[in-house]
Amino acid sequence: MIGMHVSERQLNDYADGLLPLAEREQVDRHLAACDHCAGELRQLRSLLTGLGSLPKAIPPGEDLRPGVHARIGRAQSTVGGKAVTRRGTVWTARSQLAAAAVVLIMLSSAATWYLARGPNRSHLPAVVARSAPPPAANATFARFQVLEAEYLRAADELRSALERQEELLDPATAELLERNLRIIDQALQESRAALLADPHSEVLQQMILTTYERKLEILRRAEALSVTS
Amino acid sequence: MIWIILSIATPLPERAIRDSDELVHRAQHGDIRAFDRLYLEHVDRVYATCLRISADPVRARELTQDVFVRAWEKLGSFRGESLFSSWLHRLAVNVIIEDQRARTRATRRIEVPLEAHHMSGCAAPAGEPGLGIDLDRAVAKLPEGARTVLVLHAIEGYRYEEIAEMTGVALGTVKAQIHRARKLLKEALR
Repeated sequence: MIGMHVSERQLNDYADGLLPLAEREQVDRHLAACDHCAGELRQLRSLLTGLGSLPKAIPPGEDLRPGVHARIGRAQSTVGGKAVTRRGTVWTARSQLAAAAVVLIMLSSAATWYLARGPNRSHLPAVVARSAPPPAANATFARFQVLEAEYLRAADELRSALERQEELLDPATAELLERNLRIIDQALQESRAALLADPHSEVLQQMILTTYERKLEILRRAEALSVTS
Repeated sequence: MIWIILSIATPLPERAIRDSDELVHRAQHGDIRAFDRLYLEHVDRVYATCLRISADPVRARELTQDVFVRAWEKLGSFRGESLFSSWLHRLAVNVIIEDQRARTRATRRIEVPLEAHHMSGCAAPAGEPGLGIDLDRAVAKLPEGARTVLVLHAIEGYRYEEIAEMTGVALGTVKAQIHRARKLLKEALR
């Protein structure tokens, strides 16, 4: 307290709920008897409520992305024309796509192995192996079909975007991209053929969707490279 | 071979492009379209903070760009321990404060004592869409140091201790600046 009234420090701490109990009770008693300090507190709380109610988001009035993209592109181009990942590892455009291709070759090998082995139901009781798939399996396949449709749509969109910017990729990178996409599509074709024979195989469904995911990843990387080149 | 493949398979996304966590994941792996989506989700919030602390729409737009460039560079350090919005906002505050320090060093300005007459000396953002109320204009007229800590506390919701850490100003000084800024605002709004 200062003289007859609550100090500025106390009033602010009181409004912020930071006063120790004994001091808060002292201020409580004073506010009950002092119209001046009670009025100051009301104004302070009104101000704090107003400040807290101000909009947290304000549109900047223009799209700032071109400037952001330009600066990101300049930062990348200063490292000898190579794309720099945020983890500090330097990747060339082609090595990014090549690394993704290694994963795809593994996936297509797995699909071939699975096809050669044939669907294995030996772990199931004979009566279950011969009976119709349970409702859960049908639901899983339906979900797979929905997800597959989404992947196909996303891949088509990315492909179209990439074709519009194809001239921005250097020829060696474009050739590597096409080669990888051919490998992916072949793996998908083989896996799809296997799935037709065994539509409720969750292993095959998982493999196919993972392959779609890798395809999208390659297309996104290629598109990102073409945008920032 | 199957186990190798399954062990490296990514989880199946429900809505790959639209999920915020997925956007961050994609952007961390160089997907500029995913980063653009993050920009659209968060730019208004970032700009509001830059505008209120800088009190200059042109500078605020430059700072907003700085924030998103820095976010692109630092995205690999985001580990998901907090919300992405919180991480981005904290990064924005750091960018703003670094800019203040750089400009202070460049112009060799000395923080003038907080007096009531300074309320008329600082430029207010005139005609800025969305800032039509007296309170925002009054905040914009505060001296920079007081305005910064007041905005961070009263509008952005940071605690005194967090503000002291971010600004490098002693806790007691932060509180004193906020108290005086509140007093100036009350007087300006009478």
